[in-house]
Amino acid sequence: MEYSKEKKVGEGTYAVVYLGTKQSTNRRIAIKEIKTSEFKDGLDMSAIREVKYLQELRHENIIELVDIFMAYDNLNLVLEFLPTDLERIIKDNSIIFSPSDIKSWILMTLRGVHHCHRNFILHRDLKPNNLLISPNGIIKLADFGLARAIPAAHEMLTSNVVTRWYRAPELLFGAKHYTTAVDIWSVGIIFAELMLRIPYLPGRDDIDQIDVTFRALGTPTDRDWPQVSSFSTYNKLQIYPPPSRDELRKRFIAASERALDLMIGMLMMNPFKRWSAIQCLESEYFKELPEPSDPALFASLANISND
Amino acid sequence: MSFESQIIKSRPFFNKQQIRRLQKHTINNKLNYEVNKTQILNKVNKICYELKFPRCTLETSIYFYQRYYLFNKFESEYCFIVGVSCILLSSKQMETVKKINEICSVALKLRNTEAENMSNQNAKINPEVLENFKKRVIQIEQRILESCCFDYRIYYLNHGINLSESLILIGKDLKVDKEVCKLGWIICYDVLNTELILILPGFLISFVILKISSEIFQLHYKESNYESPFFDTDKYSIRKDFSDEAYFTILNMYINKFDSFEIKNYNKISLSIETFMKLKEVAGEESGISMLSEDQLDLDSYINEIRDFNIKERRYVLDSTIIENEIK
Repeated sequence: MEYSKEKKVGEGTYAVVYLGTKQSTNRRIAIKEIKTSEFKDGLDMSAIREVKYLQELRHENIIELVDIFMAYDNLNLVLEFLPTDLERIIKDNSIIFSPSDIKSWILMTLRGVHHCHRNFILHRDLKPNNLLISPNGIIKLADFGLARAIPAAHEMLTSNVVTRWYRAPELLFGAKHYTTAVDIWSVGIIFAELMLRIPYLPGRDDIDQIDVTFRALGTPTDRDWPQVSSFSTYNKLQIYPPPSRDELRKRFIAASERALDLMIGMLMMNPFKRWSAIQCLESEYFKELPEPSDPALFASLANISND
Repeated sequence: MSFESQIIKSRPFFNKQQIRRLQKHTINNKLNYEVNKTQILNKVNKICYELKFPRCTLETSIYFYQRYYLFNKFESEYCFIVGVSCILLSSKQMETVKKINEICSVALKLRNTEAENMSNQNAKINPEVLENFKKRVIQIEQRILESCCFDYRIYYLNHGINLSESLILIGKDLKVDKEVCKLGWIICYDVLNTELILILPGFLISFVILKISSEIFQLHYKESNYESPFFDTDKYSIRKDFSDEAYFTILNMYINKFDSFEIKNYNKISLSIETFMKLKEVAGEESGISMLSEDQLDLDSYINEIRDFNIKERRYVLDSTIIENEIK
């Protein structure tokens, strides 16, 4: 056999993840074994999406799908081995990270997101836990189980996507059609979380998420988001004023003015005004000092692994 | 078991000779297979219609069905289950998902109605029968994906299998008359009955379909009242031998079996076998993808060896790089 499974490192609803080795090259890899028999609807959509989009995407900041194989009638996805993720780093209080580190992580994340969007793919589940880190410190977007192609104008979508804390306002309103802007919102929340080192908008449930989001960033109105009030849930909302620049400065003490600009751009309530991945990558924040840290400096973080 | 591990490079399309070689291992009686195929595709179409699936879901289902029987033994008693499994998988691939319960219920009702010549489509399905049917449908799903080598390039618009969406895109791009496009839409459906979708990408087939529709209108209106756009193969980087292959396959399809296809119901202009014979006459000598010699075919183990699904580890790759690297 070309692939050996050595250690179980995780189990999700539709897959079990093992650490393993590719025998011919001795390369360390991760194997996602899809649990097929347990799904009453057959092969899970997440597995289908994961293969479909990872096969298409090749980028330094996106996890590599190395191989696909069937073994004992189970579908296995061979993925590059990525020992840790951004959530672990944020939560590990023993790690001190600088504004340069944050800049580097967000830059790598945005590059990965931009690559998805320029290939007409929405990730739809961006969160620190899905931003994996390679042994040489590179951030890679992972878990494409919720991804899909950017929809045509007439296509109806489910708004039940993205992990709650990272869900954009249009999704909270139950929009049936949305764009790449949902991913940018998630990156904005991750950016805020990196600066605060705690989750920025941790709603307890879907209803609370709406309240937490609008209390922090203001309830959108028809003036800055035309027809937002036509969403059926809008009338039940508590109206909060948007935070002033000064309030944001106080909340994000370590953030530079340019960092705040970027975060505000990514967290625009109106998805049509929200910055695109290109606008984010071209923001002044990435041009001002300090420069983003060299990812090689994060190599040691790879030891913060699964145990 | 001869090997512990096997690596297979995807080949999304084959020529006619290669298809024959592959089918030699899987289909004992070609006539029986063809008759069954027509019946199953008809049922698949009815199920997709009942479930309001778009044309792309139907097209993908039919590609899956034909592809499946290139690598799996054809047994007529199972082909309905295979057809339903193709719909289930296609609905997922094309993001038009429906619950397996819904798909299988519609399929079973249709089968029962047809078998017993019943008019009541609302007759209840025995839950036990439904559960067993679902299990069997699920079992085939992965085998279909293996038959396609998990190659997702077949869903891309520019070189995938999608006929109808390509037809709309090219029609818009070339500003083809709406009525010509409508005829093209019908030909697209008829083409699904042929093996052309195993041979050439949908975009190319759609281009040729529009060219044929346009020529039909030109023939009908004697060029004076209908101005055809220029079907420039270079514009879409289409190889002449490929477009000729599609062109003559479609003409021959109608010349041989005009009455078996949907086109016979088209009534905007009068169409008959003679229409297609005339087009063939104008086109000149029949040409297409060049034939391979028997020696060349014999040397191709991919089409001569029966796919062994008992090998413990079956790997599927899209290009040769991974294989070459491992050999190094």
